[in-house]
Amino acid sequence: MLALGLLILASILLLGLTFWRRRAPASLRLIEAYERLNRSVGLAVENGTRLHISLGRGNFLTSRGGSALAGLAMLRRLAERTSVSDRPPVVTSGDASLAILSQDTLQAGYRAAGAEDQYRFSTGRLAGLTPFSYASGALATIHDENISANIMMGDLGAESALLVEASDREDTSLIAASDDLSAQAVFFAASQEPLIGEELFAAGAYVGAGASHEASLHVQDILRWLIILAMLVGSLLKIVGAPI
Amino acid sequence: MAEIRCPNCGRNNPDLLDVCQFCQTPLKPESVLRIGEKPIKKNTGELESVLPDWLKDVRQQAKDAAEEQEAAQAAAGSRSQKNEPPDLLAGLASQAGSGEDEDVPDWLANINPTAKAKPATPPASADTGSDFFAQFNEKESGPEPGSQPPQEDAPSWMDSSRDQSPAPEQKDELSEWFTQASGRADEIVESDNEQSDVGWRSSFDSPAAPAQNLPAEEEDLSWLHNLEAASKQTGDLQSPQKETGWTAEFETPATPSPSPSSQDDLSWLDRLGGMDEPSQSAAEQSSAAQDDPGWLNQFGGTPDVPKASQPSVPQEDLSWLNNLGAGSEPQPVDAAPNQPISAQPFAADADLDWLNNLGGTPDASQMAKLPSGPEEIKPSEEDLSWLNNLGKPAEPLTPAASPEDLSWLNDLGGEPEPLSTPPFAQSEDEKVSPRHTAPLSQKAAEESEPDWLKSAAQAPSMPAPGDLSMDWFSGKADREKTPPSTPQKNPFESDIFSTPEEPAPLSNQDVDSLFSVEMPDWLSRPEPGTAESVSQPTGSSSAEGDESLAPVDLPSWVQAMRPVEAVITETTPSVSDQPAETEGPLAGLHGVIPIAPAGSAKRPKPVSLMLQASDEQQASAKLLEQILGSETSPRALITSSVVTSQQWLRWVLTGLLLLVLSAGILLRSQNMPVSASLPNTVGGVSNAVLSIPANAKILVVVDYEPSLAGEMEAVGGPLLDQIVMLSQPNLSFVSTSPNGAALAERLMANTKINQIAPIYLNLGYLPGGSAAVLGFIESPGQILPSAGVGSFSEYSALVVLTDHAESGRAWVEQLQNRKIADPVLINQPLLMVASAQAGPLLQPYVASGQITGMINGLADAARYEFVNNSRPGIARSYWDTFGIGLMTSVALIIVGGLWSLFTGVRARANAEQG
Amino acid sequence: MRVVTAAFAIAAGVIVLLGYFFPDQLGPLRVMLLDWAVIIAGMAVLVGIYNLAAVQMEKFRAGQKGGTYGILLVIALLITFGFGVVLGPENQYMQLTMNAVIVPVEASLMAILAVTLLYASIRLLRRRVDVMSVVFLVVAVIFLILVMPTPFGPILGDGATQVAMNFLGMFSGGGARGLLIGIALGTLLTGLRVLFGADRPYGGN
Repeated sequence: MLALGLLILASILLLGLTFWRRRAPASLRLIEAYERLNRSVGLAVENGTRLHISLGRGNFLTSRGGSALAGLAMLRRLAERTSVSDRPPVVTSGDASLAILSQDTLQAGYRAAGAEDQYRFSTGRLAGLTPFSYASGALATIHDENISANIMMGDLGAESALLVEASDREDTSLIAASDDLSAQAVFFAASQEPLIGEELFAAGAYVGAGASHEASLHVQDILRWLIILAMLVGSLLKIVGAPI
Repeated sequence: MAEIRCPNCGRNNPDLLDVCQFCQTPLKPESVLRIGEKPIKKNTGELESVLPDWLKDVRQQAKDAAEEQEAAQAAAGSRSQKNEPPDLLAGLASQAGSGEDEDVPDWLANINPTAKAKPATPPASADTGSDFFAQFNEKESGPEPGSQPPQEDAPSWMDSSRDQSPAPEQKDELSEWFTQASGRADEIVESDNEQSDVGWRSSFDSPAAPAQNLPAEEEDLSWLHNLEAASKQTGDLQSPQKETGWTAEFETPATPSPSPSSQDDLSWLDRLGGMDEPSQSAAEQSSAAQDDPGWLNQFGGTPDVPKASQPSVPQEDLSWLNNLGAGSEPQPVDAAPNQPISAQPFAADADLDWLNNLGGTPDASQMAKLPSGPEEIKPSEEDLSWLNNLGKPAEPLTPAASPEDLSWLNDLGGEPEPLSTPPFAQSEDEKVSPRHTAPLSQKAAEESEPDWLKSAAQAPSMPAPGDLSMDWFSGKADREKTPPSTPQKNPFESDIFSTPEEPAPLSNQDVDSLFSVEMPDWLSRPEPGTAESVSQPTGSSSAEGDESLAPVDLPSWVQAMRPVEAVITETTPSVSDQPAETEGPLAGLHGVIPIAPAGSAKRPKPVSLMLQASDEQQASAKLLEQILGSETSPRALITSSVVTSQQWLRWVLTGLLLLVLSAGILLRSQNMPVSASLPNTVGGVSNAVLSIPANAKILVVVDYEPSLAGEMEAVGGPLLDQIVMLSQPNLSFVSTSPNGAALAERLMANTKINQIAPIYLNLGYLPGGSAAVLGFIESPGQILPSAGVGSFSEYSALVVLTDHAESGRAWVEQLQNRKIADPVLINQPLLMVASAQAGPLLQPYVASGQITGMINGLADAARYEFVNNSRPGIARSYWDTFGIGLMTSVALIIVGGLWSLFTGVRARANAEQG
Repeated sequence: MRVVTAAFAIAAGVIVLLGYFFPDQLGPLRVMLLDWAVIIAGMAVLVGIYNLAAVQMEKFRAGQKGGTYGILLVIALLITFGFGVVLGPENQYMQLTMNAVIVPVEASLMAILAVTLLYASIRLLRRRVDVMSVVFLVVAVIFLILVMPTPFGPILGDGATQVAMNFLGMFSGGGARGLLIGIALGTLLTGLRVLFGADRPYGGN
């Protein structure tokens, strides 16, 4: 019931804050990685290079699907912005269903930009079914597709170190975020502006995906404070010997 | 295109034509004076039609006052002929009845009808040695049938003039002149100013010509006789020393020398309107200016210097009147209207004194005298100096003092004036007397002026149509200023559009006298500053002769037309430097209206062409320029070396690690000790294995990737080996990854467990992730029928081999949830075999008791294997190599990190300095 | 059409979610939907594999860089798929494929990863010099030293090593849990957005 209550509370807060943010857009804190993301997107469009967007290997049937959905929301906005580029972005995935969704998202972005005829199915790819096979396939994309910026948003593991190293070799910009701790450790050591923790889920808000994304961030903050409060209270109760 | 009015038919013709296109009359008669030619008399009767309204009004007034002058005329008839002023308007009277001239004023036509009867005397004979007023005296002696009525209409001052001069003769001449002028006026239909000016002047210049066309009607010119008489009294006609008026120019060309001793004092009238006088007369201008009748010079000024009329002067003075209205002679129409009319000495200054007072500020005595009646007028002392004041410039053009005061007429419309001389500037010394036709004698001039003269003395509001110089707008202060002694040009001979080089400023008095309407103060009152500036150059000349025309200040718009260099001031005058306004609503204010004249070369401030850009903008512009320049310039290819430093480092690291690790493996070193104490978490695993019953079903979940198969086999091997060794269970392998089935097989093979437990069940791939896990836990037979179990509780233990915490957490969480529903599952151990990267994340579950025991990484596996009698031995074999590898890595990290730190700091320092 | 897909997606998600809270009422429906999802996911794998092969073939046909490897990939895929269908996944030849190809390859990649991580650790201070980078490296080195077997045994001894490990684990564990909680909250809100239709990654968004 606690979970159900938390779910209901999150739903109410999400709905209310979404309507509020539609009227008053939020002022988000500066995240260097997303600033560089926007610049990289613009540069890629201007100089005719590609964007490589890696959505990881998140499976929608597992809890890692959330990061995959966050990556798809970002992909939607980037696809719309880069539709005018001479070289469309390439999206690699480590999961088949994620690869299919990435293709559909690309097409939706092109459609929204009025350039649906420029969509190519090959831009949304299944790089591999295993993490390292996925990394291997993504490595080939980074080295061979004239990539100017690598954007890794999703469920990535330690194998992302290979992608980071390849990005460093090609002297491309890297914006990476994962829900996996080992990947976050790798990103922290290898990238300039690492995204840690739930900053992955803020990608939609920073690329202008909508008011609901901004509201989600606020709800996360509210719930986090509630959890902190609950943990402190519970710890105190446990210390005092309350039967919890 | 300038037009020339035909003197015969009066129609306008282009100036390019030599003959009239209507009547074939030469438009440019031979008598037009050119350079070197001698002036000839002109018929002033042509100017009848171009007479300004004020003059017409004067005539009308004269007509009205003619009756009053009859008695005075009769009284003045006893005077000597010498003293009688010449019939100035005799020529006009002769032309009064000629033609269809509608503009012939009645007063002019009625003044001297006897003048028409007089044949056109040769201009030469009329001019040479003939006194202007003498003609009038001669005429007066003769019958003048037509002169009686006009005489009645003549103003009183004219009666005085008649008394002074030989009335009959002069009267006849005057009447004749008037007649001629009237007759000529019929021919002159054009009201064009230029033509009218030309005609008017030409009529004056050639008195003999109009004599032929003198109207038969004889006009009463008694008023003019009175005028003559008055002028004689004043001596204007007698003393031709300062004749600078326009009358001096009216002498016939036969007597071009404007000698003061010339007895043809009426020559100025001959030249009145004669614009064709060549510039050669400029040399004679100095003297010609002296010949101008003083009365015209003093037009508008005070007759300060009444001149006694000389006995011979009256005769000579009236000669011009003979020429007035003479249209037979071709009138000289000057194509160069700026040519001044050579002024001839007008000896009869005294006789023209009355003219001097015409329009000027009348003296109190004069004003009192004028209306008193004609008896006060002394024709012998007529002062015609007022006529000299007509068109009097602001300063005398020539320094020579001339008895003739009619030079102002020459200045009308075009005499170069100093640019600094404002139109209204009047010298302080100038005393512009109101223009009024003062008695020809000085005495008469002092008498009261007739009404029409008073009105003429008033400040005119508008200049005459023929006034080409804005000198007419000289202020009223000119009234008190002495008329300039220099000869004045005929104002009518200059074009209205003439260059400002020849402005003929008139004093205000002259202006006032010319105009019958009162001029506004602002127009008549000269500016103080300009008045002073004008007064300076004109002061000398004004001091020279009393009959010199008062300098006239140019109006501002005329000054603006002056040469630029004369008025350009580079520096903008400050407010304090600018004079204060003296009149109007801006009186007393400084600098309200900029004094910079129109058309001045006052340049605006130079605007810098430099683009005002800030430093940031300039920097951006430079950057853009560099970018644009780099676009066209070939960019040197950055050739990187085949092997970079970073690649070298990678190779070195790889080689080093390979070397070390290979050595350890190949050497099968087992020198590094393994601790025998098991961690708590590992101890729980041992205890759980001991509690598994024999032949139990154990579910083994293989959720690791092939990449970590080696580690997992090393870590999971000892546990599975112990379980198999102790319980000989029935193992069931399941995997939530597609590779799990194969990996399970590999595990069994590599750990050689299959040799111990050859029978095991490989359930394969369990799709669906956590949901599948939950479903399998709830009903394994339904999810995987090949599992062979009805419920999950049939498994005695659950062993999960995972390399990522997500999978382990999923099994833990789903099992924990199921344990709540099924209490049987509470005692079912959950053993976790995790890789080193997943172990820390599963520790909380271990600590919470959800995981019974966990073997985390190779370290725990090695210890557990040691306890298990070193079976299978994979972990122990890896232990030494593992240690060496770690030590190498640590060393590399420490050394490399420090080196990177040093190089990084140095690079940043260089970057900051660069 | 977009409304239909959105409605179905939202309905399915709500049912599955509520099925966890109300198993008696919505349990079977949840299981059914999950089964459908599993089946779709399985078929999605096949579609994904087809996409993979198509992309590689496109690269080979277009003559792009790496096209040769693409065609090899396709060939290998076809062979493996054929053997698997014919022989079964438990066949020794299929096991040979796993043992000889898949595992070694990925193991090698893992080894490369180790070198890569080592290299990244060495270059960390050159790339970014700040407190957290230094702390990161120091903690990593300490942990490695603690777990590193030496010829002399544990450097700090078993007890001290355990204490040190627990001490380090306290901070790392706490931080990790905080990250995981944040990630969980993000995942929660992301799922709610999908349930409310704010995010529709299934096309037409």
